Amino acid sequence: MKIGNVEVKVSILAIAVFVIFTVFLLAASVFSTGVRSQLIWMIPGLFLLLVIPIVLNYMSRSQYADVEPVYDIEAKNVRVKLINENMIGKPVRIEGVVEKVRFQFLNRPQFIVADRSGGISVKMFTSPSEDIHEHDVVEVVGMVIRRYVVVGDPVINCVSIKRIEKKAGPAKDH
Amino acid sequence: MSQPDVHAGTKDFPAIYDLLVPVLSFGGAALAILVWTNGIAIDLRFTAAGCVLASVVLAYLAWVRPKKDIVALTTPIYALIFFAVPLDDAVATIILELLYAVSLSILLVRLKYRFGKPAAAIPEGGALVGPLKEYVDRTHQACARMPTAAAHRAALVVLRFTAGNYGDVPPEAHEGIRELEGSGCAPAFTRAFEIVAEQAEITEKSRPRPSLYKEFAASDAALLARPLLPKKKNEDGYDPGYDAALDNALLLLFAAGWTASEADRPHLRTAEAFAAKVLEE
Repeated sequence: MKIGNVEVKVSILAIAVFVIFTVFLLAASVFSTGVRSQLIWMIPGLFLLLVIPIVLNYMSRSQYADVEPVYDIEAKNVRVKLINENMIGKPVRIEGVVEKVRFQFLNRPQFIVADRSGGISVKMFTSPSEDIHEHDVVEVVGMVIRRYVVVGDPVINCVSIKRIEKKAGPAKDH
Repeated sequence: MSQPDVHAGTKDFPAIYDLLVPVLSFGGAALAILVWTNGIAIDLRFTAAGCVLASVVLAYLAWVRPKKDIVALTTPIYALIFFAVPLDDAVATIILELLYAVSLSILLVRLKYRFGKPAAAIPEGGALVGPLKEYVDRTHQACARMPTAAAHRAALVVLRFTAGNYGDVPPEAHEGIRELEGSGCAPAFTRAFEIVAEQAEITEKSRPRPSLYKEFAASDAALLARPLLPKKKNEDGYDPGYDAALDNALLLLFAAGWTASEADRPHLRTAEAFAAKVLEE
């Protein structure tokens, strides 16, 4: 779904919650007259379960779209191996192969992206602008952060992840 | 190509800590069973202290690892939540303790296999450890000849580069080269400064990798951590010699700074994990 220039994605989890509560509400309204009398606010409430995630996704996507050009200018091309905890807060750009994709269904995907020097977690707090799958060769732009804000190994807080036109070569030259 | 589980600068932790987790948790549950079967009239919650202590040990084991496991770190909180409120039924308490002990054991195995080894403690006297120590020891003789001022610049170059302040690297490197003039040091150090300066500038200005770049000479090989690679692009257009030159240069400057500028050692400590990672194959 596109709102303005922003591609909005509803997570499968939000849809599942909406469907489950719809089924509950239908069943309850069939068997209970008390529920039927409350439908006037329950049905809008039900739709809010879908609308709120859409609005939140739109807001986060549009924010990311705003900061993307800034990061694009400031980020430095680095190898994964050179990313370390002294670089916390630095914008970086890496190129590599997507080894794993997790939590895509929550619209909070986490990718393991690896280049010839090693792999790193790439966390995104919204849905990416395009669908990314395992074995895609991607360019990641983001900021180096700690995995759990104040502790943990360095990971990339991803602002943009895009497929690039390159053949996926051997993972590591070892 | 996956992220290495065991980070550089890690060590083997005494196995007693690993054993404490199942011993304390299952021990507490076993004690609860004994108390219950013998009809001893004490509050079974006391036996849950084993699970609470085991959670604390597990959280400690998670804390000392470079890669933190938030699940293991938060187990003491869950232990308090589960066991602070008394259950009316003794059987339920025992089953809860047993299930909790099993969960902690599974988390311990997960921690050991997915989150690597604990971070190495800094030895007495602040010596380096592992392959990095071996490399610094191997280059000690050549590095010790470097003037302190040049070694200080070498340390600054490594620190600036490690922090991603690429724009600050070339001026420091050129100062280092100037300090080395007429010092009689091995030419590899000058080349190391040149390589890092060139690549830092390329990174800072987001330029593409050049096909012609500064590199070490064959005569420098004895001082390098990695073998020299020829300038040659593979079928993907990737030239491994470019990255190898930077890795060797950074490691050589780290060794020089560590050996010949003792005042910079506390600062270089912050780049130790980085240097160890660069040294990894």
